[in-house]
Amino acid sequence: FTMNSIRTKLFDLLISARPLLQFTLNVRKRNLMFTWHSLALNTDGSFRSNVWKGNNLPIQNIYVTSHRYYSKNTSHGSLITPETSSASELTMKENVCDSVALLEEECSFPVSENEDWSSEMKWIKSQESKDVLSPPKDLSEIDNLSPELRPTFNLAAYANRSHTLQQLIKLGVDLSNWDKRKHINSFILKLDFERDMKKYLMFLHDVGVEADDLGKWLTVNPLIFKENLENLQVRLDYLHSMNFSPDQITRIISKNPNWLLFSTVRIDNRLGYFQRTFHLTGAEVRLLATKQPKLITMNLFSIKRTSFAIEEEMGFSPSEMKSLLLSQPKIWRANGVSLLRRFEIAHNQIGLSHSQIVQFPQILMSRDFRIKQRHDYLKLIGRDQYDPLKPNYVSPSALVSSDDVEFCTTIAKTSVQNFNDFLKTR
Amino acid sequence: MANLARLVQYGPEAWNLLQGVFCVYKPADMTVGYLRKVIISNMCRDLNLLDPRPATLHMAIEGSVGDKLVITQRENFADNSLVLGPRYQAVDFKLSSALHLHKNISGVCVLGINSGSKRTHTVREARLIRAYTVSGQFGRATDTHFHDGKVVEKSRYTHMTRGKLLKAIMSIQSAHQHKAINFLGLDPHSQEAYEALSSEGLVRPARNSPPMIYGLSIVDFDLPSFTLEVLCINETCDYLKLLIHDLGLQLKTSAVCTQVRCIRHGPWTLHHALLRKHWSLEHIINNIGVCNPMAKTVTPKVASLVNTKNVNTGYLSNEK
Repeated sequence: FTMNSIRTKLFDLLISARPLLQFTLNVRKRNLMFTWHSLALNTDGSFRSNVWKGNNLPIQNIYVTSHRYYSKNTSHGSLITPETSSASELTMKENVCDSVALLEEECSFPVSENEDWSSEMKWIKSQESKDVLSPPKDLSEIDNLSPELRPTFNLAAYANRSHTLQQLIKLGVDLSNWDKRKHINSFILKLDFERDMKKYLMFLHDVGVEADDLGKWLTVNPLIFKENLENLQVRLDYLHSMNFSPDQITRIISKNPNWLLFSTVRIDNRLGYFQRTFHLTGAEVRLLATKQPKLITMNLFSIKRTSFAIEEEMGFSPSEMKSLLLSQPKIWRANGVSLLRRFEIAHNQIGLSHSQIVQFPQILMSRDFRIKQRHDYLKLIGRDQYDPLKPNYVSPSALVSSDDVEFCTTIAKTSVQNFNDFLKTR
Repeated sequence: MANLARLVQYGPEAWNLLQGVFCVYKPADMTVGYLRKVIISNMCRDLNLLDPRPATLHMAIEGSVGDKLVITQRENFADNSLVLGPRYQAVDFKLSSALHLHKNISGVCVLGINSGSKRTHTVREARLIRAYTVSGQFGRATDTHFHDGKVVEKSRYTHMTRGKLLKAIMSIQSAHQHKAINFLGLDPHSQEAYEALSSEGLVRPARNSPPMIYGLSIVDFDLPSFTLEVLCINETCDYLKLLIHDLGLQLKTSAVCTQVRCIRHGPWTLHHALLRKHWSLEHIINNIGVCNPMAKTVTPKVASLVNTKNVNTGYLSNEK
């Protein structure tokens, strides 16, 4: 396990990755990676991770070897040949996370703006020839040094050192949510808040998304940062051209963050699909998109399956289905099996007709045990009368709306205790 | 003794109270696994709404080695719930049931949360007597013995009377009583057997035995449906459904089970059980306050569970 092989592995990693993570507020456009090996006095020479952080501690008990690896995040950088150290052993993980440890610190050594490394190489060589144990000429050199960042399973390890992550937290973004999803973290860690993310936030602000909601918005859709801003503008312009009012557009984008990931062609296809299948006018399409924007970008197969269930399995006519769509589009977002179960209870057990269900579509959106409980109770006390032409009419909406106290006092006209006792007999 | 109410606003304090045995009314078509998930997610939701523990601070050392180095305390972004996730998550909870109720059984379900999950084990070992309300319907029999199975047989039931049903039930009960004596290995006409079955208590087999019925009575008789109250131990849902089915056969008709409801599990009754709308943190902690002390008395001081191996030392029991 020679030093050379470590070096080449490290080198490969650095070339392939394009990380640009910043950690302190003293920003200077320079990316470097360091690895310090520190040998404490009494160890057997195994690698000990450094005790101090990017910001400085007074130099005490730190014995420094000259195993320093420097690299640049461009096509090639050269690495110095380290002196072999018999005692120290480098433990490097193969798959370091995509963001390699970086510092943007005050650097006291020369920076060459073009691709050649000559001035840095000169400086590196000068450092190499120095005696390790003699104190450094300029103490501020030590400021630049810090241990490398290690791979982690969540972003908490980087949160205190990353300006970008801190800004996101201040916005209210739920980073733990991103940890659960694949590839989001590795994408986000390569971005810089000031350089990359700010323009998107301005864009969203211009659309009309509230500042308080930005956190939640980004939690749902961090992939917005992948999109080209011009494309996003085109998608907005499309909505404008389709006669959506600015308020409607604000609502659509706020309620459905993933809308902006869909290209104009796809959105157009989707809106066209809804218009054709349900025979909607232009204004109705706009109403639907504003009322339930998530429906437009939903899985098309689920929509088709639900439409089939409503038309064929439940037996609604096309006009009834259209009226259901416009009054309660959430039905299409529900789970099909539960929906059928609720309909079966409402139509077969309670006896509500199709037109009554169309009149009170909330029944199909409430959990089935609730409707059944209340109906059975009303049946027990003899108040299950849902025909408006007969006396003692109970509106089917009473089965789903309001809490139990109101239901018992106004509709059932009994005590809540009575209702609870009934529930314990089922 | 008056119970003082205390307002708890601090999350960890509520967590410390959320330890022990409590009682829930399990709805009829819900598996215990789903019930666990619902209760745990409700607990997480409610605990995360309370005040969290104070956030730690981040010690930052700033400045330059050449100049001054300043140690300051800064906001610790790593200790934010936005970064770590909610303070209370589903994996933090331990929730076990004293008896794994079948999907078809509704009623009293004894659960133990966090440290109470050890108690549920004690409760299970104690083999407490449970009371069920089993409803059946004459006229048809299904393959699963339950009303949602495929109908296998249909028959007349108009000849059925309450008296006939009562007679059949009594015969079942006496058969079980004989079985109880047989568990002791004693001669049913001996003095020892008499003492064992004396009014002091019930004999309960200590090991896993087949279901034993200690009491059967008719609660409701309204042809074609009827309801029985069953007191038993070591029963399963299938056994109770089979009981109804066999009753039908015995009475020269056919019967199917329509509802199995547990109304009592040892000391815990319907009165203690929480309805689904009350499965929230506040109600469950209050319920623990009531139900947990009862769990301390389930293992009787006097050995009432008869060890079927040591039949000569068969002992009288204290009824629980």
